[in-house]
Amino acid sequence: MATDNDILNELNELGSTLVRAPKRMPYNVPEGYFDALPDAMYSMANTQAQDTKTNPYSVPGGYFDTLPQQVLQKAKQGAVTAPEKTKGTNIWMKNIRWAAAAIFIFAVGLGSYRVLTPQTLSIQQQLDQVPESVLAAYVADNVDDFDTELITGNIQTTTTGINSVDNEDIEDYLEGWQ
Amino acid sequence: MAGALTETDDNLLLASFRDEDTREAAFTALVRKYQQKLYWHIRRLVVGHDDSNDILQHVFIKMWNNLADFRGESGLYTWLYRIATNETLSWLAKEKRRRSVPLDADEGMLEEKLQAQDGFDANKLEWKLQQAIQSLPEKQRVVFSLRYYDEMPYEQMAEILDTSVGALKASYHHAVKKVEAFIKDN
Repeated sequence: MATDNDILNELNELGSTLVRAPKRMPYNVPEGYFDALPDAMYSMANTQAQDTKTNPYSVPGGYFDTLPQQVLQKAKQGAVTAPEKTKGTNIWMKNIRWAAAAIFIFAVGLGSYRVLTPQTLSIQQQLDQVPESVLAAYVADNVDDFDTELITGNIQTTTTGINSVDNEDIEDYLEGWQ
Repeated sequence: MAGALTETDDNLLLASFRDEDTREAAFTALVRKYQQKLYWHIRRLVVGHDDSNDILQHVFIKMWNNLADFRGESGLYTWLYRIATNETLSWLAKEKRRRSVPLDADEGMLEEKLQAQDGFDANKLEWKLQQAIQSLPEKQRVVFSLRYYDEMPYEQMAEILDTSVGALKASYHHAVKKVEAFIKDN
């Protein structure tokens, strides 16, 4: 801090008449202003600091009290997964499920159609599907003498048919086997 | 507690301010210590009490907000004066914009405020001196006030105003001559 003498000496050096000028300020200040200002300033600064720090957002009541338990519970259930990855898997799985459902419905429909629709196979085709052993057992159990005569008669007819074949045809046939 | 703290040096007050338990006492002690010097520095530049009070409050609010981070590169006294000077110059610029006064011609605005002061008497030397000071360009007014009234060394003024000592001396000498001339002519 420069002393009053320093300031006066400087003015003297400048030859200024301000050396003799009054330094008293003529302005008025409200009574008690400087007595009250320190406490008023603290109150103002403290309030301003609190206002600045006040968070304008609200949180549901008790949110932070229950949050740790909620997170812990979800973690134990294994329900805590990466949100984006889960989202992508769900979309893919949903498509697969729809495709599987369509295939299942188609299969059930086709099966029902086959079961419920009457068979149109020929007698020959049906007989072709019967095993030889089943036929032999059926003949043994069901063919009686009458049936034997009928079958023998058809065989004789067949033999007669053979006799009507030309010798040349027989010779051609036999040559084909050689 | 607060009364005892007013007598201690700035470093102790700073340490007290950084401690939550003694912050209030340290703050009020600092306000009490610097309020009058800062108030009169501001008021000599803006004239009106209400305007000075508003600016001073801003200065102390800034002190509250930034004092904990104050590094002490300059003295607390210098730091507070710099804040007060910058706040005052900002207020004057806003006031001139509000009143559509050219930035380099604010003496009319301040003369008007001066004449509205209680007890204003243009024939008394102390009032005439204030009129002369308000007729100075803004920067010269700041320099004159800091040197003539606050008796501040040029080196400290250079820290506050970011100007060289030589430039400040020249500015002050010019200001003194202008003030003298104003008083002589009026």
